[in-house]
Formats: sequence, structure tokens, C-alpha cells
Amino acid sequence: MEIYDLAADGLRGLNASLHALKGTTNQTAWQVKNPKGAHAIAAGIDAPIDVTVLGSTGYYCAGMNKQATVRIKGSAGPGVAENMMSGTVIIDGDASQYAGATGRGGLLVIKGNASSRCGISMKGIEIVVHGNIGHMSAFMAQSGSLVVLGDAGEALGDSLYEARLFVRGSVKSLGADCIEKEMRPEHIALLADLLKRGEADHLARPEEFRRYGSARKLYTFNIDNAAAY
Amino acid sequence: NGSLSNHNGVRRELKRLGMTFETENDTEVGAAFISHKLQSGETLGNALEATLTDLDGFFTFVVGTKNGFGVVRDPIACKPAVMAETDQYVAFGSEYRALVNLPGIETARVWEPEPATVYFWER
Repeated sequence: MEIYDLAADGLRGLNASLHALKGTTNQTAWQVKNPKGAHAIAAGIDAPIDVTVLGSTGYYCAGMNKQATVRIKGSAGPGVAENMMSGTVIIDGDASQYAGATGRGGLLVIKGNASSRCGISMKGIEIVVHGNIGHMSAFMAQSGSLVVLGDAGEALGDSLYEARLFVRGSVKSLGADCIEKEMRPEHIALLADLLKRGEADHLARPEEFRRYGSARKLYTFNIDNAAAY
Repeated sequence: NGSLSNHNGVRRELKRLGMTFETENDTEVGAAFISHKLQSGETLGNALEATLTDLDGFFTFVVGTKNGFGVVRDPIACKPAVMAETDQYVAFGSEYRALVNLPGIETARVWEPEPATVYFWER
């Protein structure tokens, strides 16, 4: 176990050490002490390692993550796992704005609540939120899945492309071109898998969720639909 | 701080009502607006509520008075804000990092103020 004291040894030292781990390394388990809301903790990792942050983080924790599992034993600031390519990020507390923004792969699990613009412009990332999400979540979400056990704020899925949104609680309002869609067996199966990997299968069943998706009138725009917005 | 779009009109009106300004800055208009409300006898809570209807733009206002402390974010709330509360204090920062050395922060209630919601405390 590699134990790194962020307060004593600084952020650059931590990230340099993590970046130096190339594809194969036997330094696979790391703990980061005293994060104290520092920014960009464990950003840019490209190795199949496990990093546990013992506290709350600032902006962009685990940004651009590849292959690593990053666990945050606290809450995360804005942009957690932004542009993640692969791997897993698990947050025990809450996540601030634009969690998982523009993520291309991997799995982001938020056990508390996520703030506004969760999953904005997601491009393949899978996000599972045990609590609520804030307004304008999944804005322009292109692909991937967003699962919310709690409630969603205003303008969910505004300008949505083909990302799949599943919400168990209430949705304050839907954004432009986002509509409720039918849950079919393939969606139930997808959702069951996401809940399991998202450590939420003991909290909810797929049948409790509603599915939301694109009406496909905006991104495949036909002038006849202009009045719809 | 804020990025107000109707600050020129509001400034003109506040000047007419007797407020004075040092700069052309939009946030100064926000401060003068709230000050004017307080001078007119409004409570801190009502002064902050009025910003939501009368000011147009992105803003987070944090106001301290002799016996009070208040926070309000605009309805879209893109700009960051975080608060911490214990039995001993309430604190505001634009990021959590600003609060980490406060006593008892590990067990404080830490949350992001909701959009278009006034939070205030008064003795």
C-alpha cells in the first residue's frame, strides 16, 4: 500500500507519482491522506490501480481517468471524473456541479447527491447516483447511461442525443426534446446491470425507474418542428 | 460577485433614489441594491429575495450586517458556492477548499445553497 500525505508532500508529487505508473506496475494500491479540498487529485491516471482519497476533494478529481479505480471517502468538488475514459470513480458523499462531464467511458458512482449539470455532454460514461441530481443534468448528453435513484431537477436531458436516462424519483421538468420513453426488457436488463455495478442493487429495482430519452426532433432537426422549442 | 445584465438601468434608478456609486461595476450595483432595501427598512431576507426578481444575470451574493448574514444564488446557479454550518458558526466559500481549516469542519453540515433560495441567519 502506498500512502501519500497530500498536506505534507504536495499535489504535484502525488500526480507525478501516479502518472509515472505505466500500464503494468506492482504499486497498485494507493491512499491519499489530507486531501483538504485540493484540486485535480489523481487526475490523468493511466494505470489499473486503486486510489483511495481519505476526505473531500476540490475540482476535477480523477479527471481524464483511464483504467484506475478512484474512491473518494468524502465529497467531491465540481467536475469529478470529467472526461473519464475508463475505470471507476466511487464517491461516498456528494458531488458538486458537472460530475462526469463529457465522460467517454468508465463508471461514476455517487452515493450521495449530485449537483447541477450532472453528466453534461456525456459521451459514453455510465453514472449511477444514489441520491438526487440537480438542474440541467444530462444536458446535450450524447451516449452512455445516467441512473438516478432519487429526484432530478429542472430541465433534465435538455437537447439530448442518445444517452439513456433512468430516474426513479420525480423529475422537476424535462428539457427541450427530452421525453419519457417506454421501459422494455432490454432496458430492465441494462438497468439491473448498472444498479449492480453502481452498488445500488440493494436500494432499488429496475422496475421502479422511468426511462427518458431524446425525441430526436432537435438533433435531427426538421424546420417543421421549430415551434416545439 | 455577479455578472449582471441590467445593472445600468438599476444603477440609474438607485441614483435617483439617492444611492451613490464609486464605479461602473455591476457587482457594486448589486451591493447598492441590497443596501437600499435595508435602508428602506426591509429585512435581510426580503432584500435578498428582491435580488431574484429585480436583478438579471448570474450572481452569488453574500451579505453581512451588524447582526445578520445572508446568501443567495441566482436561479441558474452556475457560479460555485458552498456553505458549512455547525452549532458555532455558519460559513460561506466559493469552494470547499476555503473552509477546510475551520474548526469542526469534519463534522459540519456542508452543502451547496440551492438556486434562487435565500439563506439568512440573524441574532
